[in-house]
Amino acid sequence: MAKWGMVIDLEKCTGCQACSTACQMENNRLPGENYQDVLYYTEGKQPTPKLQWFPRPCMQCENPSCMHVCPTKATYKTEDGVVLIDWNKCIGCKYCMIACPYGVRFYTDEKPLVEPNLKEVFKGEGDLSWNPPYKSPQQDNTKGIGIQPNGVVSKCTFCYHKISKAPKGTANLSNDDPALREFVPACVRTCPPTARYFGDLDNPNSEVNRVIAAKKGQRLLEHTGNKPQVYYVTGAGAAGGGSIPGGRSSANKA
Amino acid sequence: MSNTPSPLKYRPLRPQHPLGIIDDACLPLRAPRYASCRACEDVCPPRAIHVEDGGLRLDESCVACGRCAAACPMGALGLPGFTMPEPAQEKRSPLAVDCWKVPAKLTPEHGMRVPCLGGLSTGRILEILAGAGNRPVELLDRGWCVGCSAGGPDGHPSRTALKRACDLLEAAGAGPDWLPRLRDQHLPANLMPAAIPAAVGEATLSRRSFFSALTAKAAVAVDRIRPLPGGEVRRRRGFEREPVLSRERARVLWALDRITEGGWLSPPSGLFHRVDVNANCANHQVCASICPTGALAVYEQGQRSELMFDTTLCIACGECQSTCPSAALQLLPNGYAAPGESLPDRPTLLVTFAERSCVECGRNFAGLGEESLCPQCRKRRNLASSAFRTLFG
Repeated sequence: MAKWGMVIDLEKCTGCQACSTACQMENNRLPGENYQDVLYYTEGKQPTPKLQWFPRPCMQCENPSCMHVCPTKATYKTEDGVVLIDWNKCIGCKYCMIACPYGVRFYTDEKPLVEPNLKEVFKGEGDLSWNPPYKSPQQDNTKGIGIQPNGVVSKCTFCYHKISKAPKGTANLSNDDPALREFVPACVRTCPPTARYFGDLDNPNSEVNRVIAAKKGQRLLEHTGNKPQVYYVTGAGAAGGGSIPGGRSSANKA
Repeated sequence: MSNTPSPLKYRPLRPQHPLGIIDDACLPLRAPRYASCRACEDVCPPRAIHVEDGGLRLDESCVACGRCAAACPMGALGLPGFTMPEPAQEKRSPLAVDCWKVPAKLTPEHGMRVPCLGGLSTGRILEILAGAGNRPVELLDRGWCVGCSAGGPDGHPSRTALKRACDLLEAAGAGPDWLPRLRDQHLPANLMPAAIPAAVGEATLSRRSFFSALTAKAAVAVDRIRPLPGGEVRRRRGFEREPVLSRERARVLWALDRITEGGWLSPPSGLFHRVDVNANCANHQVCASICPTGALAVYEQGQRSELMFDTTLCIACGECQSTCPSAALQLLPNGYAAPGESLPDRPTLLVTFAERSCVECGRNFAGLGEESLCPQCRKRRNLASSAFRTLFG
C-alpha cells in the first residue's frame, strides 16, 4: 500500500495562491476556509525586511495528534497514509483543532470571514453548511469529502477522492503522465511553477523520495513528533541556512 | 429552556417485545461511539442486550425481567408492569410487592405484582412508596431468585436498589416507619414456573400512558426542587445537545418530594453531582460539546462566554473530566452531600471568559491577558515564524 506524501519546493513557489484557489473549487470551500493556504511572514525592518511564504496543506502526519485526541474516533488514518475525518462521527468538539500543531483544521459554523455571508446567499439543504453554485461532484461524509455539514470539523484530504482512484503501485502522481492526471490532487495539478511533487513515500524510486534526498527535505515542527508526510525543500541541495528562494532575499541581490 | 423530556420516541427493541427504549435518553445512542455506558449489558442475566454501533440489540434469550431498565442511569429502557395500579387508600396493611412468577392467589390481598423485583430501580421503589399512601411497603423474597433465569447467585436482586432508596429516604428526613423492607416469605421451589408469565390479567397501564405519566412527573419534580431562573433565556452556543433529564432521576425526585410533602431536610446525599473548574481552564469548551446529557453548556452573554453546569441533569458519567484538554475539570460524584449544604442555583456558573475579536480573522475568542490573536491565528503565526527559521534560516 502506498504512503502518499507531498514535497513542496520553496525555491520554485511564487506564493501565487493558485493552489488555494484550486483547492477552494475542488472541495467546495469558502474564502478563508480553504483546506490549504499560503502563509506569509516578514521579519526584519526596513530597509532589509525579509518576506517569506510557504503553502500549508494538512501535513497528513504519520503520528497525528488530532487523531489521538478525538473522543469519537472520527479522525482516522487510512491504509495509504492519509488522515481523514468521518463527518458522520464528528461531534464538532474541536479538540482536534486544539491538538493540531499546524492549525490546518476548520470549523466553519462561526462568524463568516467575508460579506455578504455566502452561506446565507446559497443556503445549504439538510445538514450541509451551504449550497455552492458550482459543486464538485463527490460527497462522501465518511471520508470528510464534499460540502461540509454543519457542526463538524474539516480538513485537507490530499484530494482523497482523486488519489484513491489511482492505479495500485503508482509511484508518482504528476501532470507529466497524461494517464494519471485525473488522480493528481488539485493543488499539485494547478501549481503554475510545478513546485509540488506528489507520490508514494514508501517507494524508494518515487520522485518525492528523489527530491527529498537530493534537496534535503525538511518537515515542520519536528519536535512535536507528529512526523508530517509533507516535506519542504528550499534550494541548491542545502537545508536550513542555504540559499533562499530566488530573488526573495536581500542576500541574493548582493 | 425547560427540562421537560422531549416528546416520546418510545419503540420496542424487538418486534412484539415488551422491552422498549427511548432513543433520546440512551447515552450510547445520544453520544454514539464515546459514551462508555454499558449498564444494561452488564446487568442482564441472560446477556441478551448488547450496545452496538448504531443501536441496542436484544437477543431472543431476553426473559423480560426489566433488570436492564432498573440499571439504566437515564431510565431510557422501560417495560410495562412496574407501575402502581390505583392505590387502595384506606388499607392499613403493608403493601406487598410480589413477582409475576408467584401464582396470583398466593400474593397477599391488595398486593402489587411486577414482572420481576429486580426490575425495580431505586426510583421505582420510591414511586411505589409514594403511591402507597400511608402503607408500609414490603418486597417479598420467595426464595426462588437463586434458581431463577432472571436472578443469580446473589439472591434477591433488589437489595442494592432498596438500600439506596432507604439511604435517600433517611437523608431526606423520612422516619424509620417509612422505609421499605425486604420480607422473607419463601415458597416451595417446585411451584416456580420456568419463565416469567406474560402480562395476562395483570393490572398494567398501557405503554403510552406508562411513559407519558412519567414525562409529566419529571418536569414537576425538578422544578419543585430547584426551579430554573425565569426571565430571558440566554442562547446556547454551537451544537451542544438538547438537555435531557434522566427519567430515573425524575422518578426519585418526584417520589421523594411527594413522600416528604415538599419538606426536604436537605438534598439527599448521593443524588447530586458536582463539577469544579480550576484555573487551568482555557475555554476550549470541549466539555460542553461532549456532555451527553447537556448538563454542561456554554452560554453567550454579551461579550462574555459562560460555562454553566446544571446539577439536576448530571449523571456523573465522567466524560467531561476525562476529555478536558487542560485537565481543568474535576467531577465530584455526590459533591453536594455535605451536611446542611444546599443545592446551588441551576444552572451554576462555573467559569466566565471575556471575549474579544481577533485582529486577524475577526472571529470572537476568549482571550487571556492582552492576547489579540485567536488561538488559530496565533498558531498560524507561530508556525510561520518557526518555519521561517527552519526553512530559510
